[in-house]
Amino acid sequence: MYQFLRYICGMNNSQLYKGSLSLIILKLLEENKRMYGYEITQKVKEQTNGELVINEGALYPALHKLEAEGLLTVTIEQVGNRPRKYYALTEKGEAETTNRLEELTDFVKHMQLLLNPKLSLG
Amino acid sequence: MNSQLSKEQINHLYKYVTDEGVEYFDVQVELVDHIATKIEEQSEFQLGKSADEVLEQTLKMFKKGEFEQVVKEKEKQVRRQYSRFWWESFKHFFTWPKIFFTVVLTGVFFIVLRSVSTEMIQEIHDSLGLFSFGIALIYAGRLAYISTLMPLKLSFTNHNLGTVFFVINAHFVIKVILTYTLLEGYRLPFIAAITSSIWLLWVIAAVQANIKLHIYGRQLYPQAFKSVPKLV
Repeated sequence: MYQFLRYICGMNNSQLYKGSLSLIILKLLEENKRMYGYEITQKVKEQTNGELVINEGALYPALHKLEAEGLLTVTIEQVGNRPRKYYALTEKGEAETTNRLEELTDFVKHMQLLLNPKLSLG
Repeated sequence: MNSQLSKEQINHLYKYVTDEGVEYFDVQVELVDHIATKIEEQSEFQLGKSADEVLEQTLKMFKKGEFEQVVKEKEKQVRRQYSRFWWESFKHFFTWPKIFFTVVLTGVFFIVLRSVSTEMIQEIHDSLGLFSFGIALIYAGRLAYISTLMPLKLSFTNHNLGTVFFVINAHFVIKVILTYTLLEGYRLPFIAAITSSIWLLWVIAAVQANIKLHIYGRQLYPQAFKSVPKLV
């Protein structure tokens, strides 16, 4: 999925990348069951070899939006001297992730056909 | 394994995010954990530096006003969550078994509105404002009481004023319904009963949505409600 995103975003902070942030979060939660904010930023950085960097100003609004839509559920656990907020997908969130990933796959397929018609035709 | 920040250092971070304009405890929890984890990670790579030095160095990396944007967005998303709860509560009135209540309410409205005189309808119409204001006052008093007991502020309990304002003004719609169905020469008690009960359910759903947000906040952050009795 990240290769897809890098391909269509031209990297860094394009509008397309910002619009894909929710999907990145949903996909990571689908793979990892539950995660906390900082863990998400580090996982994205790690999986994209440091090319995608998500800051707090973008990550938390995106998480709060998904929570408000009922796609994420939240639990709080004490870690050391502080509470930590973990996010996980709800049933609705799981279904939404599948739908959005299918949409993205179709979108990328169509973009490849449009941008590299010769390559696509073989 | 990372060495963890002390209680004093965590308190310092809470003070830092508060000074940066983050007044909601639920947002503070998240940002403090984020910064603390970052500091702990940085400490591993900067062995010559003390945790306090890394802490100050990490805090300098955050731009002024960056957290305010997170707070503004959080308020926007709480309004969104409130709207979702509102709509869900309203829809429940049309599913079993709550639909039974909806039908009975509409039936009672119909029987009453069909049998009372126009003068009586006019009297109800004129005194509705006072009734609505009374209910809103009791409701606002309860919410204000809860707020004063809460030692920590949550974004989820910040929607109180909007709900109270809505309840205060709810009677205007009922007045319009009565005017154009049972006053001014009209005699349409069935339409009056249906529209009034739908509007009343919409108002009840607004209050229920606010209660749901409080319950949601209470489940996640019980420390913010520790001084609030469970029955309030």
